[in-house]
Amino acid sequence: MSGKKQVRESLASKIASSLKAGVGEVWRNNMGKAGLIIIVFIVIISIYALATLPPGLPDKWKNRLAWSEYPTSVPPEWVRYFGVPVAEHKIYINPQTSYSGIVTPQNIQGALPYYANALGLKQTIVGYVQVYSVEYRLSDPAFPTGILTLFTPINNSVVIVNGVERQVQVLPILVVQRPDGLSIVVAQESSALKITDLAFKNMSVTADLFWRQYVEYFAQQGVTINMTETDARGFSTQMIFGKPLGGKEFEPLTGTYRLHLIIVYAGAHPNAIQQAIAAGQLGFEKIKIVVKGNAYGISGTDNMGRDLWLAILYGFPVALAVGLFAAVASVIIGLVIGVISGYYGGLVDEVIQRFIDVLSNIPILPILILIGVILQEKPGVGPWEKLFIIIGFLVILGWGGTAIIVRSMTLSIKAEPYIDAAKAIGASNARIIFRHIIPQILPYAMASLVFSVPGAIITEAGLSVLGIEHGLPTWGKILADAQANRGIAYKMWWWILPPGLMLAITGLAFVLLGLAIETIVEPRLRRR
Amino acid sequence: MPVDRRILNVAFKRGITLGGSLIIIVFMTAVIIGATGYDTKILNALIEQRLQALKQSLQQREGITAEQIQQIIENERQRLREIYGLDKPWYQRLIPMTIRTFKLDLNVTSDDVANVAGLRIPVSVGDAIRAALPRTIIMITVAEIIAMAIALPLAPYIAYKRGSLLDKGVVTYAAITNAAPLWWLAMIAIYLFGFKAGIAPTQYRQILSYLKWDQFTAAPLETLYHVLYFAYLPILVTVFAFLGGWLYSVRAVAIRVVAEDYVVVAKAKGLPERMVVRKYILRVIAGPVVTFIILGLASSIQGFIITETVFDWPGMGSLYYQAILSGDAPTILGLIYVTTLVYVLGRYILEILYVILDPRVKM
Repeated sequence: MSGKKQVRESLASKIASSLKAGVGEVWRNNMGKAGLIIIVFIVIISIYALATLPPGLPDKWKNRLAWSEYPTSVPPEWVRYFGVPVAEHKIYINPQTSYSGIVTPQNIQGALPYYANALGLKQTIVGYVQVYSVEYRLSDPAFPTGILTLFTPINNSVVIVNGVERQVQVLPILVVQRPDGLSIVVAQESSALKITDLAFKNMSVTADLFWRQYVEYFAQQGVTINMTETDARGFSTQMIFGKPLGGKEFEPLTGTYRLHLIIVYAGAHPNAIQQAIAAGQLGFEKIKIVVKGNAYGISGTDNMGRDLWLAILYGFPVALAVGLFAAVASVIIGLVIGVISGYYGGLVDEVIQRFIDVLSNIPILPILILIGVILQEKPGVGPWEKLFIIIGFLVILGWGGTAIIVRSMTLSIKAEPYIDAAKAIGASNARIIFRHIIPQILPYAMASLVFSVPGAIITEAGLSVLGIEHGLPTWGKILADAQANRGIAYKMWWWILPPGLMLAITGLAFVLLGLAIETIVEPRLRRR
Repeated sequence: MPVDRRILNVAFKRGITLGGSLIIIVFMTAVIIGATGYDTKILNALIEQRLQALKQSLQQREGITAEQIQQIIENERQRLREIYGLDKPWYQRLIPMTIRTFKLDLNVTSDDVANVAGLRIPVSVGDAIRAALPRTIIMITVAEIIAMAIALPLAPYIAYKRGSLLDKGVVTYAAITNAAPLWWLAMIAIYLFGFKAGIAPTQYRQILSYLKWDQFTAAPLETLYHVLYFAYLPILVTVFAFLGGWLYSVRAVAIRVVAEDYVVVAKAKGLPERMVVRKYILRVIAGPVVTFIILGLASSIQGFIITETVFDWPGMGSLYYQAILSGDAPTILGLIYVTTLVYVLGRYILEILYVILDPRVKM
């Protein structure tokens, strides 16, 4: 018993020390060093991604509504440093109250001058009013792509007046005050509504409100804007943030914009409303104003507004898991079966070799796609399960090559005199295999393991591109969505370039490492 | 053992194994399709569609009662289910299906698959493959041949100059093309050449209307121009991606030879570089290189499923993909059979060649 244990321990320590020596030798090789450095980076990013990404990301990725606050189809923000004008993406949470009080036709000029003279003004307002104001600086000549207002109201829509409950209705209005002094009503609910109903509304800008007055206003200034109502809808942000040049041409108007969100509390009890708001019983828990930029984040967004950087990050741990799992599993299977086939020979060898013959003729990709498509239709299979079933088949179909090489190495090692010597002193087959054969094959197995990592990662990504999806936001998934929207996606470099680059860099790191190991274990390749 | 008996022996043994692999692979694919009930869904839908059409035409006829119509429909349903073998469980369909696959006596069942082939239903699987094959050859086989033609003369010199800047460059290039998926390079190429520069098409399906023999004979130059217009970018991208692999693997074979004593002696004798490469390196590496060539060409006709899909190129790869997506079992089996057959034949020829060329090889 103890003897066996000792053998195992010494085997383990032998492997550990040779691994240490191996890493040292790889590090002295330039390609190996480059490969190792990149792999360490990939591991660090993977850990960072696992630690920081929200656990619900895969579900959020599939949910179209979850991305409404993001600008759609915009490049990353750093394009600014390459001379592309960028309108910043800004999110304002709980903006400052710039005015609160009762507004009547008599005092509106003084209280809300930007509203009283705004283009798109429908009616003057009466009642208790709260105004939330923010500043947006447009420094580059570029157009933002939209404005969105989101509300989280306090769950109460009544005030008590003389012991009687009274409904409170609100009318939200968004006014943009431009650097040239012009004000425009860009968003307004069509009528007052229950304040709690605002929770389900995302208020976005529409040119329907102001386009007619806007055209008239600039006609007086001598600029003829030539558009219909339908045209105007497509140009709403250009109209808000631009100077018309005539026709349908606009030029971005740089400077500081002030956005005023006017909440009108309709109802005949302004004092009760004011008190309820002051007591925190009425109003909003949270107000969010989003000015959508024409660029976003580190990696831009796709046509659904999804932040591609999140999927790029998520792709790191998934790629590592897929590549390493497939490589380790197929090399272990190949190693074991190859050694058995070479060491025992005879009928066992014949059966294994014929089996590998069949395996090596299988067109792998079509079979994988077939299995993938069949899996898609099976309900109740989770994303990770799907992923690993597909990888499992990749392993089952892919160990043949390693087994053939291992077998031929086993045959030549078996012919060495020391194996005969070991047998003569009564060593068991297991001892010979584990003590004398496998340690010699291990370096080659390492090389083939490292070489098979990129193949597995690329195959998995390729299957995603074909629509064989497991539902995780990965590099393959980004490219799959690009393929599904090829008409628009293939025009957006930030959509198709980074995920493929990540695939290529990850693959390259393992290829370089593999080349380095290969030169070390294959003395004939060594430079003289 | 006399040489011809030895060759016959190998030819027989390998023939059995490779032929056996082919049969097993097609059969197992049929099992996967049948056991999962994957093909019955589309067949049932197909039958219902036909019955619907029949019902409508019957209803327009006069002097026929609703009951009679129902009767006719039921009979027709029985007949169709028998034709498609749905009246029997899947394991009873298995053997006849496999046999019909080997005879290529099957019809495409999905309209989408027929569309990729550029044909209309009814169409036999054999015709669909015959239609798609030239398009894959034009793109992938041609690219493979171009990459070979560049790599074969170049790689031995690179091996000879091991460690030079050129050698390092080639290894780096090979490592990069090994790591970057071809289908992604295709996406980038469509972005750069199609959308940005505007000098290549962004849609490639239209090659269907130009790659036709009768059109070529009628207006050869014009047809050639159109075909080239669609084909040049896919070919270019594929050559770019393949060349690295070819250069690297031929170089790797050649390096072993360069390190042999007789080459070192030849160099030491002061023989000119070209002569050393031609006489002492090229001849020796011919064997493994022929292996690469034959296997490369044999597998090229399978098409590239993902890359062809990215280009929307209607070749064998797209046919495969559409067949799998549509659950078109006959086409899947036909494609598995034909592509595996060609690959297995390539290997068979190779193994016979080994025995003929190298008397040391025994089985």
